[in-house]
Amino acid sequence: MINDLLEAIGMMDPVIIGFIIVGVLIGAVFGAIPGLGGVVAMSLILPMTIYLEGFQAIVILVAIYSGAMYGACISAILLKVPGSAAAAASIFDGYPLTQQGMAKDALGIGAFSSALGGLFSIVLLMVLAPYMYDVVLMFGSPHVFLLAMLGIAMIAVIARQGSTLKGLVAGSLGLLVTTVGIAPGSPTPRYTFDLIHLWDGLSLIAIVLGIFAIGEMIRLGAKGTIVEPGTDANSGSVLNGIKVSVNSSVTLIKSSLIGMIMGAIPGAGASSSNFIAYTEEVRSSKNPESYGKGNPAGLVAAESANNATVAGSLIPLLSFGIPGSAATAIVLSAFLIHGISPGPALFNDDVSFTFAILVALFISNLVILFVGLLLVTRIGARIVAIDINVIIPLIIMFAILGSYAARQNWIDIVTVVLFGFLSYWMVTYGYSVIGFVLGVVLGEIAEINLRTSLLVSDDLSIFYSDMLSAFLLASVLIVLLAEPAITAFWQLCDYLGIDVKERMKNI
Amino acid sequence: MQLIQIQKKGFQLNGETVLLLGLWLTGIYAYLQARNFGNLSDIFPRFTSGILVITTTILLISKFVQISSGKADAPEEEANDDEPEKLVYLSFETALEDHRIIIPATLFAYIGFGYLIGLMWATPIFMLIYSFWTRQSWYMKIILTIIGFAVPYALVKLLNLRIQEGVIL
Repeated sequence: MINDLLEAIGMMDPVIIGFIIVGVLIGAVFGAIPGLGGVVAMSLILPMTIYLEGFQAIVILVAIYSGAMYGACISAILLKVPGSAAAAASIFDGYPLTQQGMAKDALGIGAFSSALGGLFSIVLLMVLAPYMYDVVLMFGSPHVFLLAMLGIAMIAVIARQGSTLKGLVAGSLGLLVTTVGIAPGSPTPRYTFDLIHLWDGLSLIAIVLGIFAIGEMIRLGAKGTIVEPGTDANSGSVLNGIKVSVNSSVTLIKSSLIGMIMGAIPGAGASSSNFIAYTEEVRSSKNPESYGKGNPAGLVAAESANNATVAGSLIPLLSFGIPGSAATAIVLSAFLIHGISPGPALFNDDVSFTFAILVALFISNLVILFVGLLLVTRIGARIVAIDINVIIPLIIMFAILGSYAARQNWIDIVTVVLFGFLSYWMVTYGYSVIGFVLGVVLGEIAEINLRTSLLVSDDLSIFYSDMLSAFLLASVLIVLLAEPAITAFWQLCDYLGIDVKERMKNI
Repeated sequence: MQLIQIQKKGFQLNGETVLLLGLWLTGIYAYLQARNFGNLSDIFPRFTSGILVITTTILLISKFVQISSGKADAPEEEANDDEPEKLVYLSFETALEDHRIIIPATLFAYIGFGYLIGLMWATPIFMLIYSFWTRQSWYMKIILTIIGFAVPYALVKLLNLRIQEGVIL
């Protein structure tokens, strides 16, 4: 393994390093622009990679992918508009930090956590590379369904910060929205009103842009300023952001693991991983009510998870040639164009090639660290000081054009506007937008894998028959029922006048 | 001693009630429509719309009644924290200053024009009108209008988006 690693490092010549830097910068810029994202950038660059060598092509595409994952958090933190769905959870604590005049801290946390999350997952992947093949094979449809259920159960956890019922309304609405269109695995059109434009369902990016961009711009217009009145937009410190991230190292490692695992599951993706990591951080915190109000640990969790997803997504891609997302599908295209076959050999005989890709990704994350901490933090804090009457029309323009760019479907523009108004309405009356978006993100994954599982086995025992599925099912039940059960127990004791703590002392 | 107490409240029609009613009707429609889906395609829509209907029903009922714990020595809970929303009548001049009205209005106009003449032409018009309404400086009006043309134009050239055409043009 050491020899393979050294051989991989030897492949990093100045040209490759140059491609990595250019790739990260392109990815970060595209990632930061709402509605565009890494996939658009990779699609534009892919035809140009025909003129490059195979390894160079893959390196630049992977660097763009990684850069875009980081870049999406820039607009999420500064403007509450995620560059892509992968940074949606970064809004919940990143934007409040900006409002408190701590944009530099937040951008510092975003850059540091993204880079460290990516670096940690890459090192782990290098160590576990020979074993990952077997681990990926363990996850079948019932396991992926239960993972999605676990994520959906988190809606109840998030919702407990406000009203549980309102959170469940929002979450179930999000799940219902994903059922529009042709049903997975069946030619049944659902809720399409005979409109062919709805057969593909509602676009996730359009929904996210509507919820966060349009809704927020209406609120921002009414409020008059991004930063709280009396707060200096240029205050805050990048160094402080780094210190906070280092102090949240447990969160960072845990979230990176979640991101890497979610990335390895085809179809799960970064948009799920940053939510799952965020909700897990809230669930396990001693002060869950502090999240959503500028708790840096929330931002650390979201950002470290989504960049770790990049390394995770390479596992099924390199092992089986299965792309788990649009971005990895483009990377697979580059493989095929240059005559490189993904498969088990890349983790056995040609493992030095695999390590070279991981080393390139490692360097990409170092570039993210450098660019993020030294460049973006300086520019970013100035952006929030711009007149909001300049920001609002620009964001609306990018939201409308960005939503249209994905599928060239006017339904997506209508989606952006409708969900924008719905978001404004929901937030005004305390309905959890997080729960709604979580439902939208996980709904399709849950339904596809539920359907596949039920087709494989008529018996519901498929969801608990093996150790992994039993563990996942138990986790779902614990997340859903543990806290209400404990709360009900204490309330009952209180009602009956039983002082449990006193009795425990006397035992 | 009662474990819970139920008190009637006066019904208030406010924005939240309208939202809940809309969601409740959406859930009912979705659940009933799902009966027409066969081949396992009805399971997930029924599951999700069922949860939506149940939860919105409970919240709607809570608009009519208040449920509280029935402990004798419990402090009296606030009867109703749903204050009736006050209707505010805006003059035309005030409405023109209210972003909550103007942003949706300009947004609808932008999309409408975009559909008719193409987003590439409607975007700079939107930027210009918005910058006029917010009383930007002359150079900012020009900059925003140029950006409003340059960005869609770049998308047309780079991504081959067909936004230079509308229904009319």
